[in-house]
Amino acid sequence: MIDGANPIRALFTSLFVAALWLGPASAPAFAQPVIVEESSPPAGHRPPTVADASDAEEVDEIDPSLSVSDAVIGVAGWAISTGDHRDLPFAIIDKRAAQILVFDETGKLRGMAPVLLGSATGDHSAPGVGDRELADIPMEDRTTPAGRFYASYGPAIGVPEALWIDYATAVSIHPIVPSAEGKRRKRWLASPESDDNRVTHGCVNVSPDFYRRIVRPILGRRSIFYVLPEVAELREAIPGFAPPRRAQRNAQRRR
Amino acid sequence: MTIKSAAALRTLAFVAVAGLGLSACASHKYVDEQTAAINTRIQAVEVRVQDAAQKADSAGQRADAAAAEGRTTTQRLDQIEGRVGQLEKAPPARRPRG
Repeated sequence: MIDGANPIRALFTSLFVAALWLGPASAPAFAQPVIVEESSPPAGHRPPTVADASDAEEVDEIDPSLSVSDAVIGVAGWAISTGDHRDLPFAIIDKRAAQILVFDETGKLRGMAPVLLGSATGDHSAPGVGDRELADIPMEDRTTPAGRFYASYGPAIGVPEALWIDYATAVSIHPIVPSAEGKRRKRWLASPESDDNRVTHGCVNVSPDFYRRIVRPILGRRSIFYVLPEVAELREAIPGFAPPRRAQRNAQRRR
Repeated sequence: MTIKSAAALRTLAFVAVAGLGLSACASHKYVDEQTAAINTRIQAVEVRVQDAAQKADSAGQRADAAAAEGRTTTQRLDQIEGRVGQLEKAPPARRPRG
């Protein structure tokens, strides 16, 4: 026989040591951006209060089996090199691959994710489409227009605020809303195929998490959107864009 | 308490501590792997972008951009100012196209 208190003391000591050991693991592994949510809708056109995104925050939601196209890389390099993004944060949307890449004002890549886009193929918006009710937009007019757009928050019907990509044609970027339709959209967004990402009336949808962590804090004040065409030529859709090879040939001719 | 039961308690305590410790290691390792995977791919894309930026950063590119900029600056500024003006004055509310 030995004293019965010793084993119990040994057990508590062991658990205490274990608690000390596990302490650091409970610290957050990823830095989270601090977002100040407004308690009421913004008055008029004023942009929402958005705290700066953490410098460490990087988000990659694109399926591991997929890659980023050369067209996206070319436009990003050109925008940074020529200063076309005017020291503003910018996003590049690849409609063919249904992807968005988000860069901060210094040109650093901060996030990439799949997107849902307009169900119709095409790079232009039909005249007056921004004034129509959703149900009245013909199937062939449900396009996400290509081009270079200056985006900012503005008033909207049905939601407290909208980050407008092109206000004139009512194209905004927003998170998938929680609903039965939203559940289907989440499935389409998560699948690696891009065909099932063409489901909206023209708006750009991202996951709620990507919107909260990347889109809102980085693109929420003022930003540039480059929406790459799927039918038209890149140079036709993005004013001033010149592919690097052409620029190199021009430089060689001048020498 | 008998020696047998004391030994059993010691064994139980050891298993509990070892289990908790191993699970902590596993979660650290998992987080490290996930973070590394994200950083690696984003950094890989970042390298491609910087490479493209260097290629584009040539005299020809600048000349092309300047020429194009000259042609389109006025038009662009008009568009931007028009759109900002639309937003900052009392714009008609629109419904986002879903």
